[in-house]
Amino acid sequence: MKILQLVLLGVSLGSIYSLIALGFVVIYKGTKVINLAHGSVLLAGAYAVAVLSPHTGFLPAVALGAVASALCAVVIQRLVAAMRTQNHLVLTILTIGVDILLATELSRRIGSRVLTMGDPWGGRRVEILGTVLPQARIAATVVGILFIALFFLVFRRTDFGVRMRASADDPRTAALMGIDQRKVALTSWAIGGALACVAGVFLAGFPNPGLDHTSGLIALNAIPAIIIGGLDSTEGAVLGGLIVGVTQTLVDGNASSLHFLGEGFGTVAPYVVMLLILLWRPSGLMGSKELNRV
Amino acid sequence: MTALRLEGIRLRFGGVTALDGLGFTVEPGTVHALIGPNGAGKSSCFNVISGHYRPEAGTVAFGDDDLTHLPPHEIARRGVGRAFQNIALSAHETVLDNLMVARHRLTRSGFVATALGLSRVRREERLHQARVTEIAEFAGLGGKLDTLAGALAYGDRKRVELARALASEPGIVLLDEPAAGMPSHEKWDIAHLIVSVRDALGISVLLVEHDMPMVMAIADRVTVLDFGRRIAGGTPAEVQNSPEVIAAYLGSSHPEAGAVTVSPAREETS
Amino acid sequence: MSETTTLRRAGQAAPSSSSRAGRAALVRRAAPWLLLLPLCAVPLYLDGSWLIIGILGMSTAVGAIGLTLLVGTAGQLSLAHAFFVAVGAYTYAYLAGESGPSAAGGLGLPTLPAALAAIAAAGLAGLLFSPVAARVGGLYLGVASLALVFIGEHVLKNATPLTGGYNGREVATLAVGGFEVNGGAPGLWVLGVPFTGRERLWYLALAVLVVSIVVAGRIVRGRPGRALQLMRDNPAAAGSMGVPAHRYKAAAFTVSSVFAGAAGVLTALAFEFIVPQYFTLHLAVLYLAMAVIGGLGSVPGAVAGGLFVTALPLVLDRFSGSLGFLAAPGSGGLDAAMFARFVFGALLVIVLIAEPGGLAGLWRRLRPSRR
Repeated sequence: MKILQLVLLGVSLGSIYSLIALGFVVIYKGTKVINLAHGSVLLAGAYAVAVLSPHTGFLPAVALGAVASALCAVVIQRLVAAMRTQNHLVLTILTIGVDILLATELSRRIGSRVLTMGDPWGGRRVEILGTVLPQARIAATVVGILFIALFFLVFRRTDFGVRMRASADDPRTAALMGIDQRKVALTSWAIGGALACVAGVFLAGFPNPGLDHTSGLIALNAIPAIIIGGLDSTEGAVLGGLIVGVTQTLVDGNASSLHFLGEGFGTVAPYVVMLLILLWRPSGLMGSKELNRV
Repeated sequence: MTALRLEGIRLRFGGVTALDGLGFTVEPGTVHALIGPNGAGKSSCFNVISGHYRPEAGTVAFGDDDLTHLPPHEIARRGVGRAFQNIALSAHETVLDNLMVARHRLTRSGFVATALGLSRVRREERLHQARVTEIAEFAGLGGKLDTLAGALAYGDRKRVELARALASEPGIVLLDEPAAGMPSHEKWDIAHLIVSVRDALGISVLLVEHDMPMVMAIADRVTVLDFGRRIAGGTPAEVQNSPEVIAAYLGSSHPEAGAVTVSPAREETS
Repeated sequence: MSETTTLRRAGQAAPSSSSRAGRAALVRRAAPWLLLLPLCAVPLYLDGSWLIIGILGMSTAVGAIGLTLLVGTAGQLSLAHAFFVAVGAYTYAYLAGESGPSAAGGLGLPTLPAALAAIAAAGLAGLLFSPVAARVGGLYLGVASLALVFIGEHVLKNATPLTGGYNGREVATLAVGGFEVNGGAPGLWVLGVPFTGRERLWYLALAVLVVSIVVAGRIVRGRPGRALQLMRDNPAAAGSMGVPAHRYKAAAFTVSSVFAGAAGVLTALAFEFIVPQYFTLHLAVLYLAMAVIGGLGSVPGAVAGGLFVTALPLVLDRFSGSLGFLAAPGSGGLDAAMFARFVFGALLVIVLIAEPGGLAGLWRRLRPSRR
């Protein structure tokens, strides 16, 4: 039973990571940049939710927070677009600069406080299949699945999705076909930002104590997820998120028998898995191999 | 003197067959042109020879060396030089540095020796700089050695690309459209340069070029590709009158069309 | 050779201008060495609390040189530099440390060999990571290298017998033949100024920095540097010029880690006590900031970036009392560390958008005489 409980907990944590990872991947597919400021974007959205929810109620606050983090992401995209270089390495470094700014400002605002989201789930637990799970995590799983499904619906079925995929595969041809690259870039960053906010709300929820100024770092846990799944694969992001979530919960849940690996190995384990997978498949499980163009 | 021999090369990307049983030989000391419409497989063929693509079947041999399964740097070490079509230089480095990198296979200084500034490192540097300077002058780049490659005019960058291939002192050099995009008089400068690469340096040349008058004027042998297959080969005169070639270039609906002196009909981009 | 060989093109400089250029080149070569004189005199005039800022600045500058070689010259993004710095620092502390009653053990080796072994260990760590570096390209590598920082931090916190765990461990004083390089024994006075730990360490840091600049400059301008630069700009062309890609990628990681190891040893000597909380992602990001602000691939730029990024928060902190807009640390207001972070973040963004060449690019632009 314990294993089942851990796996279910892992899946729920993994679905949160999947949302973050999807954001990374969408932004990467849209603009070939890894947004290393994603943690701060997440923090900004969740912070907005925490500040707004006492006034507006929880759901409107989440909607507004998602808009706020989408705006943050769009601003970063504009900065990236302002650069003269096309070098993705340098563009990615730029997002680190933005991250420093955003993270510093948010930690100045948050200070040493731990903020709550005002979510309706609180600390209640539910019994499912003989296991006890926090209600907040069940909500996270349900909402995660909903958003992931919605994302794939948009990505696969709508006009926007087609444009986006076309641009990701071959930007120049897509531009020649009349697809507005700027719009695709802005939309992909906005989607990534909004997804980060939703993930942030659940990360701050029970069983975690709330949102503090370091919560943005948790977004980095999605980094092994995107590398494991493959930077340019949306399906890979979801898979990677689940692998990271389950790995982390399993290791943490068996901490006593894994004591020789040291305290808090759970957060490191996904990175170890990532390195092993990279050695085996350098472009992740589902990522496309970079074609060596001469 | 060594010959470059391709036999039965097959290369596929997914379902598309890029090269289909391709074979030909570049005789030592010749300028050998590889022509064909766009998408015929010329660049793929170059990439197979220089080790950037791995063929499914067939062999590439340079003299007694089997190149087929070697990585690019090993192929370079065996004396196959290459100039790239899309100017693959380090724009922020000087012309001299861009050429010196081609001496890699001929020089020894590693990280430690270079860091220590050993006298043999400095000697090697001086020696090879002198030779590279000669090669630069040969390619018409004298006096431009200290200029940043990115600051050069297009024609000069093409020359650096060519000079860099020569600077590795190869036995054969692969030139991928060395005169593409140049005005006519500069094209003929390059044509003369290619001829003197063969005559003065004794280096065989395998050439991809779209400019037919230039190819017909300087090539000793011509191999014609279409859909990844060799459809004709021989001296320029033989090839010019081959009906298969005319059909390939002008489409089979004009079997009576004249000699191949026009630019390829199936060309999509410039 | 044919007649084209003998045909010399224009560009042979007139003799008079070339001798003037020769003199200018001489001045350019000599100027940095002249700068050394005042730097050598600094310990005579500044007290220890200022010296330590300079020592830390020079130590991190050594590490920044390593990173600019890797990211700038070789074009391999690394967010793991802090890990290799930690390997240098902790290896020295462990090898040179005495095994006593305290939590952290040690081998008690002579300190100079311990320091050299620590630098080598950092290089070895880079070499061990290089299979990943060689297989994984571009942005994948950058984010994959994050793993080292997190795994490293975890090891530092948990391998208590080696590292002292969360609480950190002491760092043995470096002594060469009985002369302590960052300690007070035997006593030494120069022009009436007592030369104790920080005065002496200043010279060691300066010497290591100068050696690093010279060595890195040679590598960048020499055969290995040219190969790395072409590999960065066009991997396919580098292969066709005979550059073995895997070996050079691995070598770049190893060399960069050697510099990081030296920085680690110096930093450890300066702190005298090291804790895992220093060698985190934050430090890795700061190193990247140094390399970028200085101008990627520029050795002098990395030095300037390293000095600036390290010294700014420390200097601001010293003046925070007199700078009205800065609050005391921990008060919830804008403290010196926070302000410095705003400056770094803003500089990163501004440099990358306005002057991608960084300080080095700016320097080149301000001297229009060249090129």
